[in-house]
Parts: sequence; structure tokens; C-alpha cells
Amino acid sequence: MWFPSSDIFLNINLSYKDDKILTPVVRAQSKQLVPLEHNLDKLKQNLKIKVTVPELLYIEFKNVTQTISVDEVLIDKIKIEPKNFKEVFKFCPNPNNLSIDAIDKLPKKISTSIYTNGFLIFDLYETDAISYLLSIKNKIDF
Amino acid sequence: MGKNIKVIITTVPFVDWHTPLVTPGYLKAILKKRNIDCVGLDLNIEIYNKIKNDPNRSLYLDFFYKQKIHPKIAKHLTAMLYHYVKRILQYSPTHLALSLFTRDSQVFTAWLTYLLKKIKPELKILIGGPGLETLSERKVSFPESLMNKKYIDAFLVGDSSKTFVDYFINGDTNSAINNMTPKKDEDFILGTTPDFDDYNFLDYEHVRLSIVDSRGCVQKCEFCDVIEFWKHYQYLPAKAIFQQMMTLIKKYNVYRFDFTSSISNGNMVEFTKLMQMIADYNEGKYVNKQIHWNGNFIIRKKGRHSDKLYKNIKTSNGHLNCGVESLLSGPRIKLGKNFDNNDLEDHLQKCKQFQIPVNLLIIAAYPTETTEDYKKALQWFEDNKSYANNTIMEVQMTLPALLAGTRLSRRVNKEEFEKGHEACKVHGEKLKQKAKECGFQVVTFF
Repeated sequence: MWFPSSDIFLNINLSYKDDKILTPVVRAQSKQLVPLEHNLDKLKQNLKIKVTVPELLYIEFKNVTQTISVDEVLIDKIKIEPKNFKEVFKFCPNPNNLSIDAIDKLPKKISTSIYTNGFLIFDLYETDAISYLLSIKNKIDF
Repeated sequence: MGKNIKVIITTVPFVDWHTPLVTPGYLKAILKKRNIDCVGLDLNIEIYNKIKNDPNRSLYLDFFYKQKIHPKIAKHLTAMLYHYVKRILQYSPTHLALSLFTRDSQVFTAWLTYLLKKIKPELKILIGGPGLETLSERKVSFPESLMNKKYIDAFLVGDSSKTFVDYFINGDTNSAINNMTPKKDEDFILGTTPDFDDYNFLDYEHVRLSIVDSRGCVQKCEFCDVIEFWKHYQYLPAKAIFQQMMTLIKKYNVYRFDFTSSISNGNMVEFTKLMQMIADYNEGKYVNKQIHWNGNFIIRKKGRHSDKLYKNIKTSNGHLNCGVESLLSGPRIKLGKNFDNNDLEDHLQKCKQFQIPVNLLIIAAYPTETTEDYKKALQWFEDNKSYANNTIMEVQMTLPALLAGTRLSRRVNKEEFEKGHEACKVHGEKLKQKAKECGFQVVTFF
């Protein structure tokens, strides 16, 4: 199938309970670092990541003291319905701060809370945003 | 502006229809007259053909109608959207006009415009047509919602060829653009024959070319939204319709036509003239060189349609779609159709006498029908089975629906109406079964 572009823009909105705002580190499946843009508005943090799909993304959170919530996820400006969050990302608790190489051994949980150190894993397995959105049965709101 | 632009006009899935949809052809003809470079496509047919015999057809319909996405078809939906994008962009357009025939085109429109803006953000997208459904009671209307999301650049509510043309000449400076007040032309643009040059007729099961012969209606059926939009009935003179037929025959060698209006015999003088003109044309010609036509036809009181008219309908190869709605006189008259079952019987007898094929359009379980009426409706098929496939070629059955802005939608309690839907469906199934048992071909839309 012809796809004009495999680049997608992942947009994640998080909320913190205290002002210890973290700057997560993002890696691709190859473990290479992926650039991240992040903005703050009081206790709300917005992460913007450009991804060339298909790709697995590991977003690492360290020094977590209070639960951080994943409020909203957008893929190419389309809001992911909360009921589809479980299709899009999982949380991998890593309280012992194991390295990224150990990620396959860590348990993967369906959770919108980052309640301890760990990784948010985004499995963007399709070749473009439309395919991905349709494959997870995500509606366009209109 | 009009000089350096290229406009693509296309239909949008899903329209469950297998003959050429006229709007892109009609609008192309209008733009061409103003020397605006334009391609008019009916791309809906390509999707129609793709899912026609697909075992997952119902899953596709779930997507088009309700945006329900089944994993089984997700990849195919992606392919469909990219196919549409490719077909549009192959012409390197500067502008795209999407014609939404009904609300069933909204889901695909949202996905398509989103995708197009992602791929070619500079493409100007205009949407229009009855599918915008701006009479509904949504907080933010469909076109406004797409505007807010920047999926489209403009929308046109109503049916105004003049405003449409003006958009491509003066841009969105026209106050009628992006305005929720419906626009309409006071008159037909006479002499505009649809331009089907970009249509691939091989895509269609039946090649029947559409002619817009009138707008609005002379009847006042409470469930109908056409009369809410077109407050006054407009019609083309018989001569203009016949001239369009001649032009289309000459250009495309197609002799079959659909009158795409709510009513073809609204103006009896013009309709009578037209039937005479077609009958004269057909006289003495081989059948494949004769004109054939389909159109919506109102049944009138006994005696209002002369035998000569019936004879000319026969000679002109007319196939009549007759909106009967309720099979009972009382509910039918109450909803706004001014003929009883004696008039219906007379019409069917005449059609049988002159061998005119008829499709009967029925609304099963009309809201004013009682359970006693339901029994009488079942009996109607029993009493009239002599017409099955002998005059009545098809019974098309729907269930009552509340169309936005109609008198019916204002009159009934929506909650109760929705509650009664299941009971309507049960009766609809019984009616369908009965009609089939009596030998009728039945198509249901529920």
C-alpha cells in the first residue's frame, strides 16, 4: 500500500501531584535515544515525540515520588479514546532501576498511572497513523 | 482566483446506489461554463463495487454508518482511504469539493479530510450537500466541527449553484460560505446539462443518467425534510428536460434516465408535455434506442391522471416510484398524502392496464398506525397480490425515521418514538414476510 509518510506525532499529556516534574528519557526499540519536546503548565506536562513507525517507544521515568497520570494521548492530533489506552501503551514498573536492556523481563501492566519508576511502552506497530488508529478501533471525533 | 485553480468534485461513501450520482457532473458543468478547470467524479461507486459482494459488507456498513471499526476490515479501510486520496491527488488539484448525499457520508468524510490535510495541507477542501445535516440538534454541527479541527476550509449549506461558483471565483469572502443559514437558488440554472465525461460507466451495474427535473414538492408529508428546505416547488419546463435528454443521448449514447427529484409529476402541465415529447420520440424506434426513465410519481385522486397520460407514460417507458407510505387511507391522509385506498387501487389498475411498472414505497408501522391498522396492512398484500410482479415490481420498505427539521420530528416525543422502534421493526418484519408470501419482491431498508 502507498503511504506518503510513516512519521507520526505522539502527544502525551501527563499530570503530576507535586511540582517534582521529571524530564523522561525516550528510546526506540533499538535503544537509541529519541528526541523529546516537553512543555509545562503548572502540574501538567506535555510530551511531543516524532516517531517513524512501526516502532516501539520506551519512555523512562526515574525518581518518581508521587503518582503521575496519563491524561491524554494523541496520535497525529487524533485523541485516543481512553478505552483504547490499553491498546496503545503499557506501564512497566521498574522500582529497582534496572537498565533498559532488562525491559523484556519486567512485568507489563495496563495502567494509566506511573506510580513508581518505570517505562511507558508505546507499541506503534503499524506503518502509518491511519492504519494504526483503525487497527485499534479508534474513532475520529466530529 | 478562478483562472489558476483545478477543482475536483466527488461523491463520498457511503451511498448505497449503483447508478451514476449526478452532483459532481452537474457542478462540473456549471464550473466549466465559467472556465474553471474541473474534474467531476463519482468515486463512491468504486467503494460500492468493492463491498458489494464482500462477505464483510455489513462490517463496512457499520463503519460508514456508525464508525464502528472491526479489526477484520481495518486494513481494508486504510486501503480505501488511501485509494480515495490517490484518486483525488492524481489530478493535482488546488481545490476539492466533497458532495455529501446523506449523513451516511459523514464518517468517511471526517477520515478522508483528516488524511488529506495531513498529506496535502495546502489543498482547499469545501464540503456541501444534504449530508451536512445542519437541521439536526447537535451542539456543534458536522461542518462546523470539521472546520474547528481544520480538516476543511469551507462549507456550503443548502443547494446554491451560484454560491458554489462564487466560492471558486472570490474565495470565502462570500458571506454565504461557512454560514449555517441554508442557501438556495431561486431558479434553476436552465440549460445546464450534467457533464459525465469523467465518470467510468463500466463501473455501474445500470447506466442511467440523472436529471434534476424539480426541487421541493407539492405535497406536505410530515416526515419529509425536502419540503422543509425547499419551501416552494421549482420545476424545469418539459422542453428543458427533453433537451437535456437529447444532449446526453448524443454525447454518451445512453437512453436511460433517472429523474432525481422528490416528484416528477408535480407540475401536471409540464409533466404531461414531457410524456408526450418522449412518447413521440420513442414511437417507431427500436427498444434499445428508446428513452426509458425512472421517477418519483405522486398518486392523485381518481380521474386526475388521464388515460392518455398513462398511455404516454407507457410509451415513454416510465418506471414509477410511488410513495404510498402507510397502506391505510387514514394514516396516509393524516401524514399529508392526499389519496385514499380507492385512488391507490385506481392507479394500480391503470398501471396494470397500460403495463407500467411501479415500485411501491412503504413506511412500515407509521407512528399514527394502531395495532388494528397493522393487521389491515398485512391484509392489503393479501388483497392485492394480483399486482405482484405484474405492475408492482418491487416493494421498498422502510421504518419511520425522524429527519431533523421535519414536522414529524417536532410533533412526536422523541423518547417514546425511540422506545417504539423495536415494535415497528417487528411489524416491519411481519409485513415483509407477508408481502413475500404474496409474491412481491421486497427490499427493506432496516
